[in-house]
Amino acid sequence: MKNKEIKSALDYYDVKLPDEDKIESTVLNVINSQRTVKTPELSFKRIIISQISSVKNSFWFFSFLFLIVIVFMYLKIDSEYTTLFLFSTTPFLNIIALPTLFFTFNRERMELEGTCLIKPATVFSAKSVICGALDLILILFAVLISAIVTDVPVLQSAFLGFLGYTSSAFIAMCFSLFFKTQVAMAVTSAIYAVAVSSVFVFEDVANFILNMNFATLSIIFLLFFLLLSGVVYYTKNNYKYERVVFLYGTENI
Amino acid sequence: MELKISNITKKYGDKIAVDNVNVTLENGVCALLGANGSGKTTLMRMIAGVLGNTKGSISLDGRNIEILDSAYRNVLGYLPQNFGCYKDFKVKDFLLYMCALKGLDGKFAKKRCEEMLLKVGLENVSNKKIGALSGGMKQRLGIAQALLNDPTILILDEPTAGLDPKERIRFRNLICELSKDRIIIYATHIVSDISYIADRVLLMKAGRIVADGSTEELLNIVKGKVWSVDIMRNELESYQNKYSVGAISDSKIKDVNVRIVSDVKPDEKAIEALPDLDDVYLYYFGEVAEVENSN
Ligand SMILES: Nc1ncnc2c1ncn2[C@@H]1O[C@H](COP(=O)(O)OP(=O)(O)OP(=O)(O)O)[C@@H](O)[C@H]1O
Ligand SMILES: [Mg+2]
Repeated sequence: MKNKEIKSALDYYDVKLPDEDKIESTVLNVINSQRTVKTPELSFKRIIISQISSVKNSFWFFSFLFLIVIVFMYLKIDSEYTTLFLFSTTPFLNIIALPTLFFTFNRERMELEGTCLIKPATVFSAKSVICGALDLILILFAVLISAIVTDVPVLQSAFLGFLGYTSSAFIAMCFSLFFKTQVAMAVTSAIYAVAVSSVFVFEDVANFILNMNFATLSIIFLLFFLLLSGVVYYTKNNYKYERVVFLYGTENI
Repeated sequence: MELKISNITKKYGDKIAVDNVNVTLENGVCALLGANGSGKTTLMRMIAGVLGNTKGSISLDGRNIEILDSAYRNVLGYLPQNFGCYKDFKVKDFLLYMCALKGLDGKFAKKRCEEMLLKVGLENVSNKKIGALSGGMKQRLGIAQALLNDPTILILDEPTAGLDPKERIRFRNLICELSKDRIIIYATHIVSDISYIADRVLLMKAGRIVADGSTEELLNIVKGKVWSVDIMRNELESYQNKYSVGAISDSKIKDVNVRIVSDVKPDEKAIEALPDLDDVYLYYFGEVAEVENSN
């Protein structure tokens, strides 16, 4: 009986259990407190900043080159196909971003880096944010130039630019899931070359793209955008050690 | 701290690389001794959390390491067996890069890198490309990298591969110095590397732990089974076929003196010898442990 009394007396006090995150951070603090090296609070923002320095130099270089090419071409080309130019140049950005994104993913690096506080998958997300953000700025800049130089509606050229970008990014990412980075780059470039030449060689294709109305354009763009988000998310979650061993050969020992 | 490995199994297709391993590790140096292909690296990778297991679980102080996740990786230091990539990095840049991945702050990271370079004696090559380093230097860089975050669990997969005798001793001292308040797991097939520093030795064979204990305990297993016999050179082959023959040395009485690990006395004139870890290795593996750079 006594126990029951005590229990009912205790029930009177409402004990709130902390949530899982809090418990984990306590564990982390306790483990940390015994060590001479303390790890600061890690935010995704900090991870992004830390990763900017490890983005390949060639990425910055070729992105800058892209900008110059865009400006130069707009000043030189003067035809009704100018708008298509946006559609066909933005995929180039993906091919230069691929090595930066997938550079970390080889067997040996994954084995070591997979044991670090910041996992390769998180590094991948941070780098896609960095590349994505820079590409976004570059495309917007190109659209701006297009708006100034040509009389194509801004919205139309913006949609075309982003459609070229997202669709090719989707293709590039899909190939990266199954092939090594170099192969994915080569295949994406090939598809991109065929697509571009078909736009410029076959008038029908060009006209079709030019005459797509806003609604169709935005639906296709949205579709690719969703597909791209999906494949980026899938990639992030799937780059585990085993996956990379599968991609980069099983040689071991 | 207690790292508990329960029923860990790893299969590659039909091949069982690690077979139902059960060990609980506490602070101190634990040596994982085994021949090529015995599953050391596979086990280490699972403990390091990079390789998933087919069966079983690993927990730190009662918490599954998969659930601890980043909290676990935060206290982990790992030196993989093959440490050959990162050729284009400069030594300093590589360490800074690893600091970034280990979540260390910019200013602090710089200081820490310098400390570690000093600790492993690489301060003079901090601006060199990793590709230009010698094998031993690379290995030392790997050790420095593993220590950056002052790990409480340190996993070293054949850390002394390619080190010269002087560096080996230096490395042994470093491990001794570090082994307080830490779990150090040290895989090797070189017995002499661990004979003085291991608090515990696990002998691994075909994916299983076949012996587990302190050095003394393992020596007790072969006590009374190690023999020294003087024989003629032409007898050597028949001895090698019949018994596990260890070290062979010059003999004053006959041609050669052989060291044999055997449950029965191999010869009338055989005398019992004082066992060492090499004999334990020989007893379990039936072959001589690799001796590297015996100076
Ligand atoms: N990715 C893999 N695919 C298939 N089999 C593998 C793989 N990795 C390891 N193995 C097999 O598992 C067994 C154990 O290999 P492991 O690398 O763990 O041995 P080890 O004890 O580290 O050997 P060593 O002393 O040579 O480093 C070997 O027979 C090897 O062939
Ligand atoms: Mg190995």
